[in-house]
Amino acid sequence: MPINYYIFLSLALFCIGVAGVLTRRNAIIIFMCIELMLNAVNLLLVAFSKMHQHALAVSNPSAGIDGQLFVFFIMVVAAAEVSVGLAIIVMMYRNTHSIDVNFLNRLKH
Amino acid sequence: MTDKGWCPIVYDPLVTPTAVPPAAARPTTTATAGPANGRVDALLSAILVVTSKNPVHSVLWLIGVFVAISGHYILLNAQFLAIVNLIVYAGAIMVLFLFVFMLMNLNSDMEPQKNKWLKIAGVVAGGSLLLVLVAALKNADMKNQLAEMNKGDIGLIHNLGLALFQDYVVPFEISSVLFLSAMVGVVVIGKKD
Repeated sequence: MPINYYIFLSLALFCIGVAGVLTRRNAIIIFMCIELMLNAVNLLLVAFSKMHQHALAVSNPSAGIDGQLFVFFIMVVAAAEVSVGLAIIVMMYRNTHSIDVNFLNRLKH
Repeated sequence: MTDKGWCPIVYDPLVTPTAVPPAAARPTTTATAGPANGRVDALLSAILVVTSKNPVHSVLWLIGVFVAISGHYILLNAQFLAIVNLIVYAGAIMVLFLFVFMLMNLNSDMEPQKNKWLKIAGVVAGGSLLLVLVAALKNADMKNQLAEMNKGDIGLIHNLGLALFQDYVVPFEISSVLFLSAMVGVVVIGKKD
């Protein structure tokens, strides 16, 4: 599979995520679009790690394993980020009874 | 068609038809168009995540995106990441999202969308970013760079575990501290005072 297919698929997923962050006002859907962008980057990292391994397979058999470990650490950080972010959203809903991000533009209530 | 590990999906798009394994070893339906269907599924589900009115439908389409991406990981023989992606994202994080949605008791007309121009401007901005990046990368010299499908053993859990606990043991421990601090932070934030 040529690498440019994966590059353009990841670009399309990332830009759909960017458009979702810019258009939607629901805070949880904005979080989901951020997850979409993280997964686009993860897919591109895995594709590049396999490309690197394909290029360097004879000289270095474990080439490209760093990319997959980076994907693993991105998943770890994303899980922590989602838990803290959802707690903040629940706190915001408790204060304003809405999860519209337009209500947060003054950073006070 | 060499070592496939334990993975039952043995589809290889680059292999000639004489080397295709017997039909019992292949996936039943989409054996001839696996990656193309994966791309279409991922993009269609991603668009539906953004455009769904009901947030619960949006969560379910995002699970569809994650399943499609895990299919790509399996096709790239990154089996550990495929399973972790399904368990962590589709299993844990999406359940957390659904749980928060159910907890908030939102109805679907909760989102006031007064300004149509903001929505159009957001779509134009995202499309412009896609246009610029595709135009910059369209003529890049990567025609003979292949992502290796269904071969290679760097995605198996044995090699990833060795690299994780030999070369990356300090980031591993730091990520455990990160999880602990995130857990303490969630409890502190979510506590009703």
